Amino acid sequence: MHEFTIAAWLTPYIGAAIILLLYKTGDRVKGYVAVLSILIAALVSTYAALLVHEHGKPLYVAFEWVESLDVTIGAYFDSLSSLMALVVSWLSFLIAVYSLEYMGEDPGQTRYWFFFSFFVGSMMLLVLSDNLITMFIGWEGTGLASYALIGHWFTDEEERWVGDPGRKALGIQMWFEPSHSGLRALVFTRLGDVGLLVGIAVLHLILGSTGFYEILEGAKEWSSLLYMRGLLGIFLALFILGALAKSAQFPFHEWLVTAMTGPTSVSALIHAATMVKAGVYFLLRFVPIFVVAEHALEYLHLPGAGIIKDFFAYIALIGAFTAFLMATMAVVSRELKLILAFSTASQLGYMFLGTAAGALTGESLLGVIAGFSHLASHAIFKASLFLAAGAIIHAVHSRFIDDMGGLAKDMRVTFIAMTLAALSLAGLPPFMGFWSKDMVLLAGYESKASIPLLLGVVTAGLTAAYTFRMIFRVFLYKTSGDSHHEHHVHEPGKLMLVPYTLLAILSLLFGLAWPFIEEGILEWFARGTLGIEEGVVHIGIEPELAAPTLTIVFAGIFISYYVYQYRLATPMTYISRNSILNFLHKFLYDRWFINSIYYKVLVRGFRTLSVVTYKFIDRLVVDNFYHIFLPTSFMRLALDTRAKLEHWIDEGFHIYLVNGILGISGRVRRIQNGILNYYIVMLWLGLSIILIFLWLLMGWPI
Amino acid sequence: MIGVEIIIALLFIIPLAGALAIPFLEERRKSAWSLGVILTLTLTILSFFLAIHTSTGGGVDVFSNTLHVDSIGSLIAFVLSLSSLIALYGSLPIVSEWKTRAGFYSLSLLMLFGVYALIYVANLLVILSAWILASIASYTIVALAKDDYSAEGATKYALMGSASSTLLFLGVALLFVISGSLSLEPISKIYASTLLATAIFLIAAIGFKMGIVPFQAWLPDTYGGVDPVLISFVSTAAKAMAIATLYRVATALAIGSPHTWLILVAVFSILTMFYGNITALVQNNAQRILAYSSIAHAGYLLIGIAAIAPIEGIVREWAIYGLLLQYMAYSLGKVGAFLTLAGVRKTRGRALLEDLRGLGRRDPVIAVAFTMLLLSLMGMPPLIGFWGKLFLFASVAFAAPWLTLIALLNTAISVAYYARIIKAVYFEAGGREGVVFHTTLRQAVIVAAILTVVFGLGLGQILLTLI
Repeated sequence: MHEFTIAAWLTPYIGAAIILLLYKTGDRVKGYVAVLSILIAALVSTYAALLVHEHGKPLYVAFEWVESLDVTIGAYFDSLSSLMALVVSWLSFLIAVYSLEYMGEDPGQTRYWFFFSFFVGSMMLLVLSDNLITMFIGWEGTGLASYALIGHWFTDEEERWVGDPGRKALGIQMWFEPSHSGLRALVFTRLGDVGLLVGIAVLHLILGSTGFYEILEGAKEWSSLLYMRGLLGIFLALFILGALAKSAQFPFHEWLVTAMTGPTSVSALIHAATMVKAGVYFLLRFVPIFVVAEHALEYLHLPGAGIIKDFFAYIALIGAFTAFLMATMAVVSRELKLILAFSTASQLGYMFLGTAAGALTGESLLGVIAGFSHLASHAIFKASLFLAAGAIIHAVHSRFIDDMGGLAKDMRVTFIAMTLAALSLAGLPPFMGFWSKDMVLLAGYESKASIPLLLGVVTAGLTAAYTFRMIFRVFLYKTSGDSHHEHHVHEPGKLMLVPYTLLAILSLLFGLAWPFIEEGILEWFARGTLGIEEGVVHIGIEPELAAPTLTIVFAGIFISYYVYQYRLATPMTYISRNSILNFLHKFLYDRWFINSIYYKVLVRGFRTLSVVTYKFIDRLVVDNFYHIFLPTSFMRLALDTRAKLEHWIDEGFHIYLVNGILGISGRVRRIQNGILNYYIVMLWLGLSIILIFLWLLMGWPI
Repeated sequence: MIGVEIIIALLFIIPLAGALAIPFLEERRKSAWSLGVILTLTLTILSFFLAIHTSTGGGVDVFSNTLHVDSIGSLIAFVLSLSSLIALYGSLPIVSEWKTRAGFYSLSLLMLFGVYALIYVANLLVILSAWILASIASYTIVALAKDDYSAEGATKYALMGSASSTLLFLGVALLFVISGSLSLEPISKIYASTLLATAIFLIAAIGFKMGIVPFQAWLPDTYGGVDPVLISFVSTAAKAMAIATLYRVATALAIGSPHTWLILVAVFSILTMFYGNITALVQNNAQRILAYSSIAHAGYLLIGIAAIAPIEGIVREWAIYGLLLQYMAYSLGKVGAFLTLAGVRKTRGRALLEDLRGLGRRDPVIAVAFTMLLLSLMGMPPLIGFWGKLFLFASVAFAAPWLTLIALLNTAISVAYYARIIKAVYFEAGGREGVVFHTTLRQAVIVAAILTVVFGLGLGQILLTLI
């Protein structure tokens, strides 16, 4: 009856196909097809979410697809996926509208809109899947679209690069062209997917299915079996690898940074609001199931429960470390989009921290709400920030914040929108970002994960500092010699302006409404999410936690204000005088040298290996052995044999035979006997050697 | 109802008659060589009919038990015929300009005749005769372009081939000594050492055909140098030949000492995958990249052969599904990709990565089709190549998780070089002159791409129900 809800992911795919067929028609049409197909998807997901709300139980549609693997394809709307679908589809819609204007002049319209719609379809499929296989299909589809869109401007003009041209760290170049960045993103994320696929295969082998419901029902079975075989820890580590890579968590974070070579609308959609959240969504989907597995193991009195707890602790630590690591890089970055990219990876770290730390309490509900709230609020304010940044970069024709400054008077609406969104990112009440970040930290607090919590609180201060550094440097701060943008800077058109202003206002409105809808959200998640049983969870402000966090946030804002607005200082002149500070700056600016180390060790290593294999095996061994040694030895053998044989034959036919005919019989008899003896000796000798070999090698056969 | 024996007989008579008739007919009618395409279409239909016919039951022995006709064999024969049809159809515009065109279609049919026999083989003598027939045909096909590359490729191929055929004789002879009969039956009582020797001889001889390391030496020069239009047919037929024969041999040998078999084949598989994937990374010639990817695919397929061993934890059914789907992904992908490169090489005289630049803009349809085929070879879901790898790798995930992990790692490595080709097609500026693809060649590439998508989206699953 509700079969049509599969339109939530199917229509964008159909839209993509139509765009491909329209490749010869006008460019406007392609954009409209994409926007329309995404709008239909958004409306269908809204309708489905309302149905879920009304009935209070998940909405589930499934068609048989791959019988031999027990794979179905359909749409599964539970509390978690229906909200996620809402966030994804409506944000995609707004960003598609923005793209109509932003990409209006671009020559690669077919490619852009095809991959845009294809991406939305894959993302919705990922979110609405009821099993791992179709989820993985959506998962790979988003990665493919991301690869294509990062490299959209493949002509590699310098304007599209990321990083300072000419800069090197540890001898490795630190600037990246779009086509190179696309490749990086694909290879980095595919590495993680290897782990995910192993996990999928293992679950399917144990359970005979990869359905989420079956995995939940069989939690006791697979967890105890894997524990018995000593594989539980390895399984969990591999299974989550895909999520870590997709969501750019340490050590996979590098790809997201350079992904900023894509069009800004793409950065907003894929690399801030949706695709990078797929890893978080995966975690949100599976943490409740893991918690059920943990309880099952506890019930069986198996120590495996401890492994699952450790797993959560590690994930929380990785998340917190990523949050901190990326925030430190954002503090020194000079590129507007890079600041936002660092910040995205940092906030994703918060989501991992919140979800995993929440699960450490023994109940998954708190973590899921914390993780999802921050996911949703971040999607809204970060999309707004990115879209506004796109308008600014477009207006100033530079990606460096040094070339900006004082834009507030020319771009007033953008200034207000971006400030609203920035307040949310910095985590100030009453903005949405405050509540969700507080929930994440609360999860860390409740689970007594002290190191992640500490990192989280420090990061909150860093976040506030770099956010306001960005706002001041872009909109207010103006040094005397600053006249880079001679041409007239102006606001973008309505199609661009409305989406990000609307999103900024939403982040304020949701923040204002939060205290009133808090209980409702708690109940919503507790009632209809796969694997969550109703538990007693306390959410709300914890003064012991909120007070120091807010203090450090205000301190961060104040420092930025003091340095950039009050003193109008240029910290670089000071830093470059002090060698220790200078090194620290270089360390942070070159992203902790992690990229250089990867290139030095991994990329060069693989390259060398490949060249060596090719040179050594193919050119040296194969060419010399097969193509030179073997042929020449065969040739020599053939020549020798021929020479000898011909000699004999010559002699035989022309001398001895003739002589024999002539009657010199004694000589003939001797030679004939000689050849015969020689052959017989050869035959026996050869056979004996082979037989001895056989005997030595494998005993007497049979 | 037509009996299986009659269909099988037709499957042999049609290519043989065609192969013998085409050179003579061409004397009278200029276009007689194109008869080969029509005959291959007939073979495709016949083999599909046979696949449906044999879908129930465990298979039938025909021709005094020299052949064993079962569903997996018929499906491989169907995929082989289908991709050969695409290859032969797509090569029409290029081959028609050669003097040796009649020879190409005649020898292709002759090779198909040999490979069909190998697919159903149940008798040691048939292995030998069919193997020699198909092998000689393939060496000659490679030489048909009559240029330096062909000469080099064919010489290396034939020299190595004759060496490996000796090993095949030795292996078959050992097999006969062990089993005491000429029919290829599961041999349960066997010394591990004897098994090892027999298996090594046979894997070396048969695996040579699909480029198993360390018997791969000829492959990069032949697949990577010779005119791709010939390779598009030879690569798919040679792979079918090797994989089907190995499958038959595996069912006979693996039972005796399953763990030895698994380890032995897995070692070959790992060597082959790593060698193919890592060496492909630094090539700048698109055709050579595809040649190395052929080696890597031989490694993936070997996992399915390893999984024939009856060990607890191995899902043998999946291994067979995987072999079929992966063979299909390989042959459709390689036929289409080599044909595309043949079109490029016809205009440019070579097929380096830089020769592909700008293809995405100038010929978006071919570019999309080509990309689809590469993505399928890469294993991108939901294309057919993904399902093939999924079934293959998952079949050993419990009995040999290390093998699954290594295989997946290899697919991750392979992404880099496939992406380099796609990058050249779409994301690199340049390419002064356009490449012109002839109509039938275009159609062939597009059909291969469509089949890759359609089979991936569900038609492949329907095929599996026929097993």
